[in-house]
Amino acid sequence: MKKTIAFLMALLLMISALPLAMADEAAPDITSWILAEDPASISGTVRFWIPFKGSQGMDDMIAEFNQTYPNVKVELTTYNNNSDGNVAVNTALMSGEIDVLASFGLANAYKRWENGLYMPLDSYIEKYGIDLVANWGTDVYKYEDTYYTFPCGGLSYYVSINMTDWNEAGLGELPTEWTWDEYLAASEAMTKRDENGNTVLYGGSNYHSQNYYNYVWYQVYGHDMYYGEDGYTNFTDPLILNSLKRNIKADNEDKIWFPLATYRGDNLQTQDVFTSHTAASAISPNMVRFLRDQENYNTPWITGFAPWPVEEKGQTNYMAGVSNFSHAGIASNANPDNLEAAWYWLAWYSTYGSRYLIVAGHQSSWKGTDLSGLVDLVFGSEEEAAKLIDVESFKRVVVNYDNPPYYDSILTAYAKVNSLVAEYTLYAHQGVMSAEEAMQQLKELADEAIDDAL
Amino acid sequence: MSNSTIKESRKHFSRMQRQENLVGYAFITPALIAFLVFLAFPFFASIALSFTKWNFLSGWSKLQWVGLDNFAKILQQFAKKRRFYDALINTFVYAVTTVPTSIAIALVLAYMLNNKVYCKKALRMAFFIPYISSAVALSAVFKFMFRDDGVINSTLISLGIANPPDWFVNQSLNKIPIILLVIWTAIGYELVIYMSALQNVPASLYEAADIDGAGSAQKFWYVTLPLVSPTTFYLVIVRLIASFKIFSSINIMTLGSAAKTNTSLVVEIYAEAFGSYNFGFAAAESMVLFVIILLITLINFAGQKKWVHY
Repeated sequence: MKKTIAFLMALLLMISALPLAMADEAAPDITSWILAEDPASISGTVRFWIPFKGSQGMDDMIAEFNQTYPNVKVELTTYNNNSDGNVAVNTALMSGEIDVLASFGLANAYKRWENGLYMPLDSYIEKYGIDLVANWGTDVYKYEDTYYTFPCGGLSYYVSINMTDWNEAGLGELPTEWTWDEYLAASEAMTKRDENGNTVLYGGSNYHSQNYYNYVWYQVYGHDMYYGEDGYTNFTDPLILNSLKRNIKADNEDKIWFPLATYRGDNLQTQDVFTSHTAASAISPNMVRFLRDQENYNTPWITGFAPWPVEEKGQTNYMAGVSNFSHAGIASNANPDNLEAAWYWLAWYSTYGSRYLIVAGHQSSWKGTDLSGLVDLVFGSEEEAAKLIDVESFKRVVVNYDNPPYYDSILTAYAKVNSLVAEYTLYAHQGVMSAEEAMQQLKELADEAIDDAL
Repeated sequence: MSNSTIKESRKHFSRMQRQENLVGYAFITPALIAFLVFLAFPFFASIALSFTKWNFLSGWSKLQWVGLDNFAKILQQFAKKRRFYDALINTFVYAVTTVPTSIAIALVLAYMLNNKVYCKKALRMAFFIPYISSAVALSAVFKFMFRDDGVINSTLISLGIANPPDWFVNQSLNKIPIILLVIWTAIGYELVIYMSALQNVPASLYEAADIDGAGSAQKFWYVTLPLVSPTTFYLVIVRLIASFKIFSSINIMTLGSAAKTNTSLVVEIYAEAFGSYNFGFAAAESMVLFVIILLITLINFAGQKKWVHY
């Protein structure tokens, strides 16, 4: 009997050890391709363009790179990620002034893939056996079956909350999950009005981009915020329509959110509205960048963080993780003498280097990112961080890599559709047309653009 | 004089003439090259591009001939009252509001400054400065002034208006800052031109009008206006063309996100070319704009016989 029990226990132990062994074998090595065999032998100058300044983590990132590659000089150029700035970037790409470019936003990256402004990376991917899914969680970001960039930059989407206003409104603990109705109720509670009924402090705000109401599709379905199952646009779907109407009501009727029309009309950005205490809370993917810049964006309060609201309680929140946002690649007109240096810079930036993106309010989407010490990287130390933010909610919400992200799998005519969304969303917000009319016309035009592209 | 002498002198003369001609050509060559490179070539290239579908980022190899498709699309947009239609209407509104207003104000100011006025030179300079200032800087200043929390609204609030308008958000009002800026910057140039024209009006005509018992208003209407009408005609043409090309004030004030109700044709052409990279379609739109400006100019030239007195 004893022998039987001993045998069974041994068998049990062996069986329980198997998954561990199998896991070790199954986990891909996502670091073996990144570094050169002899980094010191790699030399050259790499002209790197990104919308972040040196003081926003980029200098530290380059310095760390140079510890491994001492003979590669990385020249950082900061560009403005707006329409004119991206025209300047495209011109610089064409004239051969850029070696490695970080494109922000899928629309900008897509235009550059479409027009051959990036060098194809397929040969590198094959040569080094790079597993894109293992490295960055997805392999969908390609154009006509060719990879041009690595999707190494990410964003997390969260609600930044002025804790003084939150506590004054008696709203209790910061939520770990909440619905849009709950966020609107909190916004109403934090809104302050003068004796004439005019709003003097908005309780909330959506982000200043015109397409944030579309992100509800990402939250619910986890992919493709502009596209339905048939590959055409989803703008007349009740989910999108209701989201738009909800935004318009909060902005223009209830006046509890800082209006999108004013953001666009006065060219303001969400961080301006939040840090000037015009709004008590705001949805944003990059507020952290401004909170750490107290010289220019002084916030004499503690900022807490809550997750992106969900449509219904209990739903998987695909907006609560770190989702792909920026894409880096080698310019097609890069200096051929420095191609090797450019490749190793790209390889390093899109992996180890991308953790510095958090200093500028973005995130790394590389699966090998060392998550320890991210608070220290942004604020210096947890003690320093605690003077500005609620550290616990920051870790739970802003840098939570455990939550599932969203992905894009349909990119047809993406840039054109994105630009139409910007136009027609404003029409609805400005009252030029009703939400239904705007979405109907938007769908017609966007589907035409998709047909043209197919 | 013998025939050979005549022939010699003719040869000598034509050699001299040739040399003079060569010197002349040498002097005009730089300007000619600049004209050909910066005006003539782009103009004809634009005409050719308007019949193509081309995204300049993709290079010349992807240039595609599409015939009249771009123009058909413009007509479609016009028929469906889409962006091109809005831009065209807005451009006409800018032209109709800014041109007569700025000319009228400039004429009145010039007439006043032409008389005995203290600090005439300083006033003239003060009115001229906006014309020579950077359009971008002025647009940025006006943008700041007309913001929701800007100087204009702060002033209106202090005057007791509790809810001043959101100038750039309100679809009925978002043209006003642009119109005011254009008028203010145009006045300076028109004022200087009018002052020069007014000084060429013979004083004897005013003396004759005085003798006939004409008052100030009558002198202005029957003497000044007709005699400066050639100048007025010139300014109308120049200002109309400029108003149809209005761009920097709108682009800066809206920072690239011009609304349906305040965009202009050139803003749309720019957005099509540098936002969507549809150079062929943008070239077609610019051809349409060229034809519109040409027609309006020709109509003005035809109409001048009725009111311009040379």
